[in-house]
Amino acid sequence: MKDPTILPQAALYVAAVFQTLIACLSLRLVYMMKWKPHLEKVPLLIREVFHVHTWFISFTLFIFAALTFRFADEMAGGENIALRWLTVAIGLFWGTRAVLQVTYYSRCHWQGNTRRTVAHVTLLVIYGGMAVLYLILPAIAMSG
Amino acid sequence: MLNLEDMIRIGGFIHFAVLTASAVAPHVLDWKNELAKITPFLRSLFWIYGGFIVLTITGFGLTSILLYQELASGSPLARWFCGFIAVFWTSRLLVQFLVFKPKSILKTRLLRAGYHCLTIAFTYMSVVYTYTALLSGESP
Repeated sequence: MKDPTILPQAALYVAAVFQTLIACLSLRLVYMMKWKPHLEKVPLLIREVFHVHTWFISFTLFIFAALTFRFADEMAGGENIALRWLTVAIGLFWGTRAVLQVTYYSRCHWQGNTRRTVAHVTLLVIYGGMAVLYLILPAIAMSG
Repeated sequence: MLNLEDMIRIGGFIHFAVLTASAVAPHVLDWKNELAKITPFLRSLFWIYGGFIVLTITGFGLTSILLYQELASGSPLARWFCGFIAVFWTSRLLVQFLVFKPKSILKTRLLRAGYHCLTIAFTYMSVVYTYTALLSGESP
């Protein structure tokens, strides 16, 4: 009989790849978006805080990706309670990020600019997709 | 005598102490006025980054307080998870010494004491979670 966890496992591997990519992208964001001159307007310590936050956000995403790669089969199975909590936590993280993408960032950043609109919608789909994936697996495990 | 489970639970509470101390940073660094100098998008990003760091630390803290037995069990998941918490706080400790130059803002005795307490907290968490990741239980 076909293993019912194969599809969720594959989806988790894809999510882990996305998280790795987003983590790498975050590290390059200041250069890619040409923010250096803007950041030079604030005092050194605040600039340092911004960079440290960027590193730690990236590091957190690497943690999520590595744990997902290492424990995808168990996450998909949903039998380990600690792992179920962790999966819910990652799901909440991405769910919050998806909600903020719509509610916190002003529309003026992307409205009327096709490239930015595509980027906004793509990120929303990726964040929302990861939230659904990580939240639905523990729910299925609990209901089963 | 404290055992590993106790040390992890203490670590959990220290996460929330760190968050409480961090809550004064926006006021001390006058984020409201200083961040008004940068673009609105960058300003939003600054606050979002801060919010997600808080969320991550809250997650580490809650896991340590509620699932301390699991974390001390030495299971592969526990060791991997503690390993990541260890790297997170060891990196933060290195940032404390190698990146930040806070002399200009540590003007009062209270701020200086708070800064040193944070250093002690980061050291404690680096040591406890590294020990848990490397020396407890079965092979990861």
